[in-house]
Amino acid sequence: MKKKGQTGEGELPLPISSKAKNRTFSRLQGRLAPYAFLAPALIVVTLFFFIPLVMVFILSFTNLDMTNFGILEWWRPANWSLDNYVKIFTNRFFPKILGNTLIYVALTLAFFNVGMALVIALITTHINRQAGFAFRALWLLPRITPVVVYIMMWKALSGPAPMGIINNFLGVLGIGRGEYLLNTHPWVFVILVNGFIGASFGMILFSSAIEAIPKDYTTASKVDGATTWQTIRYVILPMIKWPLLFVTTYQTLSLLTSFEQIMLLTDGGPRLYQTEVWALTAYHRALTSYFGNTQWGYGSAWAVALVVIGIIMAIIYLRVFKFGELVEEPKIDRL
Amino acid sequence: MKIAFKHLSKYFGKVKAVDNLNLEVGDGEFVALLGPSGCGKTTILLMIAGIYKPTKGLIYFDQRVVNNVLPKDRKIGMVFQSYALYPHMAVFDNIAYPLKLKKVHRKETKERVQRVADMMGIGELLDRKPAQLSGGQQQRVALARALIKEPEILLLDEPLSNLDARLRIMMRSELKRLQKDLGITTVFVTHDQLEALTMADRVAVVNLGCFQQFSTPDELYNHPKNLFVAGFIGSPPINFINVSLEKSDGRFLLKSRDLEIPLPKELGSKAGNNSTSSEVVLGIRPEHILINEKEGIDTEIYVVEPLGREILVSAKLGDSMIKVLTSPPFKANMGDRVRLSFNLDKIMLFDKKTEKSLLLDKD
Ligand SMILES: Nc1ncnc2c1ncn2[C@@H]1O[C@H](COP(=O)(O)OP(=O)(O)OP(=O)(O)O)[C@@H](O)[C@H]1O
Ligand SMILES: [Mg+2]
Repeated sequence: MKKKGQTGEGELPLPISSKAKNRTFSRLQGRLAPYAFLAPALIVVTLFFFIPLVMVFILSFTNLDMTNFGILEWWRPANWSLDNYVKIFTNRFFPKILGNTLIYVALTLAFFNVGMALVIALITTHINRQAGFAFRALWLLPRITPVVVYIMMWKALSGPAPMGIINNFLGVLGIGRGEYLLNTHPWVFVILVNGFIGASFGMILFSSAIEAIPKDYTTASKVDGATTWQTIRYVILPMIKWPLLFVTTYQTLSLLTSFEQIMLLTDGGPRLYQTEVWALTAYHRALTSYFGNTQWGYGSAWAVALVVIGIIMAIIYLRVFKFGELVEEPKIDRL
Repeated sequence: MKIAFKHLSKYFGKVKAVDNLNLEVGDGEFVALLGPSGCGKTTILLMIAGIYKPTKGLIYFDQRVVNNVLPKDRKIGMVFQSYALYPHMAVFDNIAYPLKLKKVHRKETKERVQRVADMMGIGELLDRKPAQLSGGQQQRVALARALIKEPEILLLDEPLSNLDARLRIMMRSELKRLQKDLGITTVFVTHDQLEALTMADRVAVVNLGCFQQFSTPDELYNHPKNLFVAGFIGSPPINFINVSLEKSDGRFLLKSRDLEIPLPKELGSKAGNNSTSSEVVLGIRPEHILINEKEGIDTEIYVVEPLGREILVSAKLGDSMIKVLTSPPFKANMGDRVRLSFNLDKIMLFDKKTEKSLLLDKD
């Protein structure tokens, strides 16, 4: 409790009214200051993320498109319906697109974003330090290359016989007939192209997690009679459970929503819907159309459905990896 | 199993962690590696375990050179300074780990874990995680894990340094007893001289990657080979006094500004034969100095510290301080003048330049 006359910083007592006003002002100022600092970020997030999100959600219940733009009052609940969702699930190509998405996410995740990432992390932490570091740095190149350049490079690599580099090697080995590989094996390239970029994220996280394991544990395991593989299986992997969960969840979600590499590489082709994945469909429906008719409402419905799938996947992961137990466990070893 | 090193060296880049070691550990022997921090003790253990490859030299187990044998084929149990218990495994799984790697049958594993856990007195803790154990319990689990595969060599890297003083003294005698009961060749690393002297059959004093002396605790204490060993072993530490060795009338004398000690004939001639110059260091342990009023070197008492069973007296001799251990009752006070006489059977003499003992026969 403040005593009388001790209110200010020792200034002369002010008349009651002015003192009160002064106090309210400074209190208000104190309360507003945090918001003033938050404001720029809040404005950006609201304007470019939150409002679009709400709009997409609302649009997904309307049939807004190029033809009725400016006429349809999409913000009116009277114009909302579930038609778009019905249309998605009854679409002739829905099973194909769903299957493509599952194949794309599962294979890229298993072979590259988690699998290859783990293999590279384990190898580069078991060899000479500098060599390991150099190799990991090289592997980051695809991620920092502009995506268009990167895709052009893959297109060149997979080109037909006289020019395509991969075909030159295959020719020497006597495999294939020198066709344009993107046409004959589009899925292989869709997964390779995404995987080479995606693996670097897990690689960095896993290798730093592995390097953070105290040397004594791996030494003890070797003295206890373990082979390198057994040490990895029983000591290293359980100790990097947390980054494993994180990378798996995070990469599933980003693979589900990524489409730009596929768009640039095959644009869902070469045959009808052959490599069309969910996120690409949403993009195609909403923003491109063969007849110049872009269906914003329908495309939004595809996008919203994808978000729901993503949330469900995340919840499943947290259950499977027993997230609750993970956060309970002490992160420092008390010895 | 016998262990032998022949000219063993380990370099990390320019750092010579271990330099040209020769050592033989007998079958069933308990050997301590004693030395200050960073002198290469852990490096030696990890070379025995096969984790580090020697830069030079050979390691023998019995008659066999094992330089290229993998750790898993060496039949070694090891306890780490940090214990290195796998934090994600329960105590049972930690102890059973070496058996699991060898694919020992479930039922046999269970029996053996229970047996070794009971022997270590941790039979009730098997379902706990290491984080839920006290330091002493963790140490027993680590020991159980090292013993379960019935190793032929046991390596202990400062296993007691994380325990509190009381537990450490208890574990000291327990470990010694256990080693004798099991008869496993054991190499024990410590920087605590008391641990080394009390537990080991023989102690190897290491400094800067080199052996200073390898002998029984008794030999180490009473006949140190050089200044480092004499100074490192013993608490309170030995007194060193710079003196000159002089000869008059056929007898040897130790002389300095403040004292003059005639040496017994045999001692004097040995020192005289071995010395390279007249500059020598006289070493005398605190318990080998007699304090009285009548005869000896005249000094002034600087401080008196009662230790319970004994009394530690510091006396000023010229510029240096002499520590004397005497038994109570002791009546003199700070500032009093007393006389010190050295037990001449127990004094040590070292060459000031080479730092080697002058009283050992040349080899
Ligand atoms: N892996 C390594 N790389 C480079 N230098 C090392 C390595 N291991 C040990 N050294 C160096 O070798 C020397 C001996 O180290 P070591 O760990 O054997 O000492 P120690 O006697 O066990 O010490 P402490 O009592 O502190 O455990 C030290 O100078 C250390 O810095
Ligand atoms: Mg050490």
